Amino acid sequence: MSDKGSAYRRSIRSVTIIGLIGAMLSVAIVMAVGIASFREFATGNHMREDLLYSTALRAQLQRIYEKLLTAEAGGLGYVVTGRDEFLAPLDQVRADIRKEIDALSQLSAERPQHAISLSELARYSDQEMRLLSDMVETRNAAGALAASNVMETRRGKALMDRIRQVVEQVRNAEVEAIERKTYEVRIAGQRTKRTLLLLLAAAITVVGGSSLVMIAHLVGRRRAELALADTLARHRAILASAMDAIVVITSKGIIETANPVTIRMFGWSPEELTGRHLGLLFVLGEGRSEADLLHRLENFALEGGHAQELTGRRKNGTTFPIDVAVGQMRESDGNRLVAILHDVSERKRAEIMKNDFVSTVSHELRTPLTSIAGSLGLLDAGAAGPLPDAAKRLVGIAHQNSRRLVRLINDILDIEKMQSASVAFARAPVSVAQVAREAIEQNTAYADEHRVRLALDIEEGDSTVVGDHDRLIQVLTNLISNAVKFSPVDGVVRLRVERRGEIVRACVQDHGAGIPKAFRANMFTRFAQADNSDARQRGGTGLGLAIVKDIVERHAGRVSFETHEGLGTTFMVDLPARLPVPPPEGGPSAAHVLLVSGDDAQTDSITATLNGHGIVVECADTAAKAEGYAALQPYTVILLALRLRDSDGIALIRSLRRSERTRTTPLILLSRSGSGPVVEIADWFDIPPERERLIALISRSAVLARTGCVLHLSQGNESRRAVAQALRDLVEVIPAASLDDANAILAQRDCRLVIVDMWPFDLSLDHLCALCRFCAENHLPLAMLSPRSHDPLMARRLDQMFQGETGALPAMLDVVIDHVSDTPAGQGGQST
Amino acid sequence: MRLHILYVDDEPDIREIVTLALGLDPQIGVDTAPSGAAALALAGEKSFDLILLDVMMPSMDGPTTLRQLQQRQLAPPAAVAFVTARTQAHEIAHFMTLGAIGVIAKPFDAIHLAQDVRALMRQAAG
Repeated sequence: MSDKGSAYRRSIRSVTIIGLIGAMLSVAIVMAVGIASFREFATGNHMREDLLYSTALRAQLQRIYEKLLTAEAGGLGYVVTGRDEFLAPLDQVRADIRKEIDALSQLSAERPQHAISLSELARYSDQEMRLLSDMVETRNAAGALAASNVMETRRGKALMDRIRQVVEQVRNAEVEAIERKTYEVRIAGQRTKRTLLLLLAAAITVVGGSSLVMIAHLVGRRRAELALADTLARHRAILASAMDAIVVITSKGIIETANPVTIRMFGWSPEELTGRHLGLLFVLGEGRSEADLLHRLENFALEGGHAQELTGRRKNGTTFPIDVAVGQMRESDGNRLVAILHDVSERKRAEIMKNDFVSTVSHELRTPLTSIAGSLGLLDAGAAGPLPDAAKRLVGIAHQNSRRLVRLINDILDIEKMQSASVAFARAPVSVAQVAREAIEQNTAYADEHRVRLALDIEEGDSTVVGDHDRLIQVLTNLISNAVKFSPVDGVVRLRVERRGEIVRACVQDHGAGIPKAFRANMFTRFAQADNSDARQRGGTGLGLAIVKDIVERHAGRVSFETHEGLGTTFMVDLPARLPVPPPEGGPSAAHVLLVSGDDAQTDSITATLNGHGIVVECADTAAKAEGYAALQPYTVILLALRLRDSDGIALIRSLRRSERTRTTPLILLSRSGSGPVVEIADWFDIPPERERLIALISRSAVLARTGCVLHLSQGNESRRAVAQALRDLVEVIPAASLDDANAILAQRDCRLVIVDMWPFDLSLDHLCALCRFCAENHLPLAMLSPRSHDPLMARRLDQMFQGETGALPAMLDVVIDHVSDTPAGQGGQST
Repeated sequence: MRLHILYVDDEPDIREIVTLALGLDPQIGVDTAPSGAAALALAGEKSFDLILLDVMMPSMDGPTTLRQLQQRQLAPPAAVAFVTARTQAHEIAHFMTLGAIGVIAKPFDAIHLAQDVRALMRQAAG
């Protein structure tokens, strides 16, 4: 999903970039077109003006030339005819020729190249005019002949030729220039046309390309929308057909969406649930708030969302067990939790039925079997008088088979218990050599029956492992009885224990027929005997080796075998040897530590370390189990985490302190991270504290024996009065209202117990931490006071305090080991 | 050493078998009671070296019977062991904490029952 999403975002980004580039190109193209068109327009304008100018110039030239021709014609006419009418045009020209020439000079100011020609023209026209005047004067003065002589000099003609040449020259130059310019303008026009065509093509390309990209994007988006709609429809269908209720809640615990299963499971429709708090669907438990529930769910999500069991509540108020799996969703408008609620009523019923069944098998089946096996045993032994041979044989068969049935039932129950891991294995140092001796002892009678001899070889070396003594005996017993069963009469079964590096190995060797090849692969499978007739003949149950494998593997060991047909079989059990850590002073004790924590990794690491010190650790992952274990046997120390799967550590402390057996057992708080100050809790009271228990605590502790006093850190008047009054005649109670007061008092007075009001005392976690550390360092017991209804909150608060701390695990172990070595072996937890 | 044993079980068949099995040892005398209440009455009248209690009995179960016996403060106090099919490790541990000297698992080995009981007594004394 996220891949698709990011691809979609990428495509949107590239489309935007392409659009921007397209727009910029379009603007640039439009500007280029504008500039090109403007330039073309300007060139045309310029050309037109030039043309007009040139035409005017040429026209002026023409007019001057014509005027001069007119003047010449007038002059010549007068000379020839002597009539005055020819003088009028000559005088006319003479009057304005200068003006015309000046006008031409002005006009040609922009044509400097014609300057020389035009000045020549001016000169020639002056000369011409003077010549004509001379001719007229000569005619007037000397008559027609003299004037014709002047004419005969042909000066006039030469001048007029020159003038014509100049005019031609200038006109030709003008025409040439205009032609050249026209040509240039045409070339420039063609270039502009090409440029415009190119720009047009570019514009079409850009606009077309952008449009194509947009269209492609729109099509893609439409497709994505369709796919999204399909996905949504699919998810809706999945949600609608899911067997589990699936609820999306906001970070405040408000239900946003729910699937239709909620009607069947809770009686609430999804519409009714929307906008309500998730707490509506659960039994919150005494003293727990909806916020606690939400916090728990958030923790589930943080811990990987694995299913946890809670109690659900239907609309009609009935309750039922549900497994809740929680996942976190990060969305653009905040975090959400998705909770998947699975009704486990059926599974619970099945579990109860199975447990009932197991219990029935164990009791109801064994009771008649006791009678049958007992009767047959007594008959067989002749307790009811001698039997005829045939009857004795039959009774013998019946007796043997009744015993086989007993073993079968025991084995089935054993393996069932181990599979369901409902049986906690002890984890104590066990000498495999000693286990071997006991196993040989227990099986000698059985071997005798089969006329097989048992031999035991114990090699040098420490054979201590950590594990369950009785279960390890069961392993060797199963292997020995197997070996005996398959040994020939008068054969020997040899049990050998040896240390091999980090491993302790126990081998059971027989000289039987060996294991057929076809069967070797299934040796440790349940009910997998070589063949059924064999099983009947040997009296086995087919479960022995499966049980051996289970037990050995739960000891982190390995079982294997070597077999040679006709020569015999050897089974080898390899168990990890106990770590070579010297036991605490006074040798290995029978000290038991109860470790209460829901964190498997923490449990394993603490167990391994304590086992390494020869301390037996029993583990409980819930408060219920812890109470059960504590009721069964005394413990030297109880380590408990503040937050447990089914409850909180404080409720457990209260309960343990109420129980006779654990009233005085040292209790050490364990943080989830396995670190933090080592806080030993003397007791945890309500507010106000119960007078009797408070007095009992003081009487038990070392306060009275010395001149010591009790420090009471409290801000509540009621609590302070209650404590002071309860202990009035017993011990001096010094109240402190702040941590600074407390520190001052602790420095001056010999306090033997610190009582801390956790409520409503507004102690910062850092300060509390410092106080706990001070108490730990000075071996001062701490008694806490807080209202029972706030236990979950308190537990969370203290747990937070531990979260920030690191590296105190060794310190905690030191305290545990101190307690253990203080306790005489086997005495258990009755120390104070 | 002669032993007086009281066997308490609601199953008449098993009572009979236990009587026979313990009877294999001529030095053991056996009385039986079908319920915890009957056992309490009998224990008040006669003195026993050992009282063997079934655990699962109607109306008054084995552990309750043991507690009542302890409250009666018999003189001399009888040792008490359980004979039961409930033999998971934590169940046995629980019975021991109640003050029993041991637990004999059902189904027991009838032929060796007397030996097992004597071994239990020796263990408790030692």
